[in-house]
Amino acid sequence: MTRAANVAEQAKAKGLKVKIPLLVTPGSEQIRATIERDGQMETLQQVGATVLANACGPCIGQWQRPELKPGEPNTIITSYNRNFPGRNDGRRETMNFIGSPELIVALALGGRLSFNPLKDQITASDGKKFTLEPPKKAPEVPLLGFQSVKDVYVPPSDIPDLVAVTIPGNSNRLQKLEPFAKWDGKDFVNLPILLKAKGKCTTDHISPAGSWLQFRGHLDKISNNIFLGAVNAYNNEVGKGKNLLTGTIDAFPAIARQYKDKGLRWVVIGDSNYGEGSSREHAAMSPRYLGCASVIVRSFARIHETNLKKQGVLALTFANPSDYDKIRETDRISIVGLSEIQPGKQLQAYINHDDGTKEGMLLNHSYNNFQIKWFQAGSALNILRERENLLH
Amino acid sequence: MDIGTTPELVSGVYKKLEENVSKYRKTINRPLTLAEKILAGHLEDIDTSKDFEPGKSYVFLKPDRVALQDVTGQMVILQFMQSGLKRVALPSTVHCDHLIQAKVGSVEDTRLALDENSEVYKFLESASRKFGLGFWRPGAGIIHQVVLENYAFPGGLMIGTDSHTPNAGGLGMVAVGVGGLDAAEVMAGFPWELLYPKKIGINLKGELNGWTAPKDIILYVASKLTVSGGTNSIVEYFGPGARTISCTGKATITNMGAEIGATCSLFPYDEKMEAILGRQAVKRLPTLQMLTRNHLLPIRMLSNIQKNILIK
Repeated sequence: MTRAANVAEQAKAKGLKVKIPLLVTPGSEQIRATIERDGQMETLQQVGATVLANACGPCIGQWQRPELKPGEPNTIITSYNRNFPGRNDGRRETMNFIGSPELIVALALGGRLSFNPLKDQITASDGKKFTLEPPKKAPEVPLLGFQSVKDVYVPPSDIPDLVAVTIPGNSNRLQKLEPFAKWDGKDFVNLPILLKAKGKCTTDHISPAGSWLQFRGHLDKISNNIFLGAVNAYNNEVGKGKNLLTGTIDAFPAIARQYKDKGLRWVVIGDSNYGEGSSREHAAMSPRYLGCASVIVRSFARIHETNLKKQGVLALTFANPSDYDKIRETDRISIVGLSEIQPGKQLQAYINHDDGTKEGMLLNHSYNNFQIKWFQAGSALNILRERENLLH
Repeated sequence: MDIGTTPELVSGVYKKLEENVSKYRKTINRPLTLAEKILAGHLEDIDTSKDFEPGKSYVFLKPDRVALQDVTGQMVILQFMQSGLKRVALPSTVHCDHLIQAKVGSVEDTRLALDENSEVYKFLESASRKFGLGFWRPGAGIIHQVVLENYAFPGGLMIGTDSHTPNAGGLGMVAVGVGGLDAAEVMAGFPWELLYPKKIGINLKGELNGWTAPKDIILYVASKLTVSGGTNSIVEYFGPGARTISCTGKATITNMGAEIGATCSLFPYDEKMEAILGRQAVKRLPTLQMLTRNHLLPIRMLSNIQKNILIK
């Protein structure tokens, strides 16, 4: 910040302002108060900068730019960390170039991407041309130290029993989690296939982000996004499949809800490296919440496999990967011998075709003894709760 | 339990670090990098530990801290509540930084966020007070900067539910971004499972001058390693150039290690970190500074680097 302000200081001395809008985000209230006290903020504002809240803002896509027309190509320069399309303002047409804060201020003064502060001149308010000096070295710690701040932090309560956790009953943003049901001890018999995914199926295909971000604390609402990005192997459509109860083609979340309402659990068939991408737990929680009993794939991305196990979904792989091809849209799947599940031992499954024929297949799993308990308890968190209940 | 990074917390960490590193050395009989030492110092079970295979072995670790932001933190706390536990098992904090939109300017934008997200903020604050987390209000700052100012310490291990958690590597901490359930489990007292990382060493020579800045170092590294070159690796910076970079400059570099897919990035303890630790607003940090100097200077030597990238 000090070096960026030093570049602004040079412009201010020449009566110059930035040629393109310059936004400044203090990293914290301590930094904001310190640069306010020490004058860097005033300098930046005097050359035309707008100071934003001490928050992530444009760096994580929370940048509102109503002045832009939809689809309007434009360029931004930032000292942030990530620059894929849409990252900063949600607009894929915005091109982002990353540089140091001092360089960003220099380019804002130069007014063009090709501005080279080492060589290029800027015209001062008196008409004279000048070149910016390299910014001065900044001290390790401000001369007067960091400004201490108030009212930013709330410590835990000394009497926690008196604190009620507030979740409004009608909230669109938050929903208290209910424990997932324990395994009933029975085999999975004749379960419909909600989705047979073809090709790449990342956690973003399973539980898309974007506008669904606002529902991260509301499992029921965010579950309306499940598999909206997945490619259906039977018709190559994205996010839609056959509802076996009605015979119609519906969105996956709608079908899953119908199955759930009828108490019908279901399975997902997947391809290779299923669930790659982020460690987003919603990609395992939402299917579990809407009644997914098992995910059977050619192979898993490891973190998602573990997340499925932790949420109580039986995560299995085809012993023979070509069995993936045997599974038809209207099949029902049975997985038997679940009460004898043990580490390293394959599970037997049957594919029941709707023409009355039946094929057997073997499924692998990577559960250890501890993880088998997660499945039996309904989830890893259920085990935690059981242990806690025993102690009290 | 104190939420802060207290001298007691830090001296406990250093004691275990020394014990574990000396045991681990006997087991594997080779020099260790700084990151390996910090990981060894946080192993749940050092006695059965073997020479882990980078990129293949899984290890169970006991982190010192957890940090949550206000988007991912919601589901973490909802899951923690399911456990039925009354208090979190280790110092943990919540930071309200993601839900403020940038539109007009600081005051107006913050006011709008408080209005639009009030139920989320009220939930996070009440849950923090009840379950023993420190709660940083909207406007307090960006999680990574607040952690650097208040909680990060050299030689520590932290997890956070944000991909740029490795920012705290600028203060010598192994700090890793994780998924929500991982955080909830650690907050409930369970160990954290990590794919044992590979090693990338970056030898910094010379000194930044003129218009060059720490950002240029990480942009250069990213251009060499690309978006996946750091996958399942800890990037360790060292060499004479490392100690010329300011603490926040180091954090700029370790923050963007996320952009090359690295598990995290790390700088060894030096005078720049010492200067920052000594001037923080938190009162007990001078003690922490002494502790850090005594314990971390002897173990900061890096060795056995498998891959070198030379810059400048």
